[in-house]
Amino acid sequence: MQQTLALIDADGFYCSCEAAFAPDLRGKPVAVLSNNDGNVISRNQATKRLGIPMGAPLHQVLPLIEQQGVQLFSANLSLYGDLSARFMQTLSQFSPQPLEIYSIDEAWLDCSAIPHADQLSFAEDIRQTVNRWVGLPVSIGLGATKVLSKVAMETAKQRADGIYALYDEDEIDAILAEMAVDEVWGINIRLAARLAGTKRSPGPVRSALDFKRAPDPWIRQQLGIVGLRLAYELRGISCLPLSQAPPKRKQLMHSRAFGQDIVSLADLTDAITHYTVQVAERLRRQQALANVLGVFLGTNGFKKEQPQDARSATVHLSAPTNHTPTLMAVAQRLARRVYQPGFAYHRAGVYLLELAPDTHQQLPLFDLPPEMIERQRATMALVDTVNAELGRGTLTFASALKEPAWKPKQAYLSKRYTTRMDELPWVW
Amino acid sequence: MTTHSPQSDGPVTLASPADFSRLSTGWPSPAEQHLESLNLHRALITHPSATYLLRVAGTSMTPRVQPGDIVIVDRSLPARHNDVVVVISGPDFALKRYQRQGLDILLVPDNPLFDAIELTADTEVVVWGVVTYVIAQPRVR
Repeated sequence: MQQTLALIDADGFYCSCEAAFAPDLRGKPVAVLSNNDGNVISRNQATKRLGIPMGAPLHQVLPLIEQQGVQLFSANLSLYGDLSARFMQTLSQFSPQPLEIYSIDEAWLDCSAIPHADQLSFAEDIRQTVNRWVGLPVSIGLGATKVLSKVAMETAKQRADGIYALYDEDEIDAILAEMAVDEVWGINIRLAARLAGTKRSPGPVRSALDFKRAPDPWIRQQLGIVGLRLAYELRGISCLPLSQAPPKRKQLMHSRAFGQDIVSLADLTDAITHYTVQVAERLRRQQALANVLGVFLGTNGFKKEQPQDARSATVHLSAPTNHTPTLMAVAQRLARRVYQPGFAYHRAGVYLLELAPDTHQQLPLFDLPPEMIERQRATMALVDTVNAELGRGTLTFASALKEPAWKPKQAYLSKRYTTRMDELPWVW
Repeated sequence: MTTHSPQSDGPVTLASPADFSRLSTGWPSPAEQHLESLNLHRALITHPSATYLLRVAGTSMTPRVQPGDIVIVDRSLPARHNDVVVVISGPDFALKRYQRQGLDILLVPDNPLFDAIELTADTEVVVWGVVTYVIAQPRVR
């Protein structure tokens, strides 16, 4: 049986989340800013038409934004996270097999079991249901492989009905001929330059179609087996199966730019403490323990007139752990070690490496008595449960409490409409 | 933790209640095998991914729905005659009663001080979701 994959992608996801509970945004240009209100990271169609580029620094486009009445938002990740979970949950009703969740706003669904003739109406049903239930517009691409469904999805984005199925070989080739090779999923500009710049090239490889038709040994020589898989995928031969359980991450990091630069050790320690709380919570959520903890900090490289500094330090923990107070104490020690007076620090982060599964088994190499470890585990489980039920930060650690100088700038933050009782949308 | 299918309205254990079996003295509780508790969230919300809470600001549905109440809105349900619905009306969400009269659909406020809207192809009004429960708070804060 021929495989068919549907790639479902939410259009301008962050902007759509903002519009979902603000009917007054309909028809207006909307843009969402990165953490710390630094750059434009999401635009709706109206904002794209104004020529505001993705990634533009806010200060560069602010005059245009004000002149055109673009509705500006700070990243509201509580809202986006909740709507993403609703989106994925809604999609999962459409398939007995698990989805592959590729990112916060896109997922693959295997629809091989549905006859070709019915697949478009199936996709239309998905589109309308997501739009109705979660308030998000989506585009859907259907194809025999991941890479082809991605091509179909990009084509769907250009079309009014937002759905495109790419089955016919001639049609596939016609679209690939119009597509630059660096637009193929997985091929970036650097790899594309490698394809275009080789001496023993089989002819100029500029379009996705050139790449699809290039000889296997040559592709393999240029891009390795990974590149060859992409070419096969373009030919309709599936090499990238749906990975239904996303691989657990081998490292975790929490890093932010500060709202205003930090000069004192006390402020730096506060920030590092807070980041440790965040990263430790994520560590426990994926049921892992960390063996190594690291801290880094740096000044603002764009302010050339200021003295520059960037440092990091890591330690091997005496025993693998996910206990927040233990990690906090280590992170605070490292913060004191890397801090240098006389610099205006712009960014810092905490990272955890060499993660191991938390198997709930006592290992002999633990220094702590087993009752103590059990008590730590119970405390952390309680903190995580309370915070999940009552909102992040309900229970925290005394040293993470101080109201911070380093808090990111979020001047345009909307309400957390779906996760906070005191921020619900109003109905008249 | 008791797992439970979302369709059922039966009792649900939220967190483990007091563990009587570890008491070292006295008689074991005769209720030990019957411990259960309510989960209001699960009882009131049938489609979690399509259900939203909104806070009532206006008086279009008084006296049935008062300002300050919370409405539970299920967006997966099609509106039926006499349902209370949330509509998008201009820049706002608004509460109305959904009424079929012959072939026409009317959006009627319970409060006579407000006007009814007829839902036609050129009305810029959309039914956003169906109110399944109203949570009122009669005690003065």
